[in-house]
Amino acid sequence: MIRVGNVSRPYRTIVLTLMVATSGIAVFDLFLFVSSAFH
Amino acid sequence: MRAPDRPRAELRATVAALSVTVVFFLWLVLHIGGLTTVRYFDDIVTALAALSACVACLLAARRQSGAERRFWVLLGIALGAWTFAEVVWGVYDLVLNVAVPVPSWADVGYLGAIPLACAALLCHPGMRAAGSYKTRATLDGLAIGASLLLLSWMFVLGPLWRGTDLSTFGGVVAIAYPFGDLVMVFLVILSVRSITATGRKPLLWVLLGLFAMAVSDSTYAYLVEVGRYATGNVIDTGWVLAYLAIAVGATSDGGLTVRISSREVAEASMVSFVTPYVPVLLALSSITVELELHHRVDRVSWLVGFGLALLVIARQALTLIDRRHELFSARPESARPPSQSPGPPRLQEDNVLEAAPFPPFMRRTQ
Repeated sequence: MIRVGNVSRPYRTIVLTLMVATSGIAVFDLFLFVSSAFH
Repeated sequence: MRAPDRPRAELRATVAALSVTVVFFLWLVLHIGGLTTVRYFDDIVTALAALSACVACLLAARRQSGAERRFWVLLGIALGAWTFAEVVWGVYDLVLNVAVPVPSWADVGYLGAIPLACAALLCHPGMRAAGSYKTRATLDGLAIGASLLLLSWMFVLGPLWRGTDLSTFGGVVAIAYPFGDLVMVFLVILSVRSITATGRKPLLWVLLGLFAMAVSDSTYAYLVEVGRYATGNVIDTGWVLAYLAIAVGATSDGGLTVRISSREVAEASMVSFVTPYVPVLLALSSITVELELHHRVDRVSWLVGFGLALLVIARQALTLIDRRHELFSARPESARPPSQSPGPPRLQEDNVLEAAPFPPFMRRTQ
């Protein structure tokens, strides 16, 4: 049987860290892409 | 019903698979017996590993029914095609003593197996998307696909594409491998994303196997391109690992059918949380390094990378909007239909209060 439950706390910390890291690098990449397009 | 001796069979299969893989790897690294012995050992063990996986899949199909049976049958046929390809490769290499031509009958098996394996994954019940949150799932799928395309284009597909004469049949075959691998890894990651903590161990083994297969294929394509591949190369371990992992997965499936209630939230596994982020982070980091080092980024990489960055930002923005909406609208009573008998109070409370701040894709509803 699949256990019914909520998302546990360590998962939340790891996934939120990944989300923040991904968003940050995506924003930085956008900046690099736009600046490279004008060079 | 799970067969009583299944865990023991699974343990035996796992130990055997690990032992064979380690011995195979060491044999290739240490060149035991010289080049000819290594060639024989490599070709024969790889073909036997593929055959054992094929048989294990077909036996698993006999124990299962419905969609699970279709999954194992299709995977068994795919493994049959891979076995055929490995045997043809061995005949060229050991009997005819010639370099395997491109294209050859081996390519029919290798390339034919990829759509069959993909069809098997699409058949698996774990691949059924949740009824809601389709926008999120679509954005996730697009982001994962774009990341894999970007990584493959930067390191394997792009160099092959530029260096291959696509007007010849051999050229088309050479380029078909990384494309097929790309689709396979994409489906593998989508499958991992829908795996819950319990009951999906066979699928996890299969996904590990298919992933090892795709990585080995792409590495092989790259090594062939730079002229550094010969039978006995260490990357051949990837194929043996792939076949044996699938065999272990098939052995561990004791015929248990996993069912999730449509109103229940199944606890997702850690790997299903983290896996979708891995290709996205890898792709974004790689393109960042390329841009920062002022390396030449071709038009395809630029467009795919730019699209990926936009997708990631759009997806995270959607997460924030959903979270805000859920925090203000979700209540334990409204989350539960009136006819449903209440579960343990703490669990119900946890489901709403703890899960609400998370992006909905983390909650496994089917």
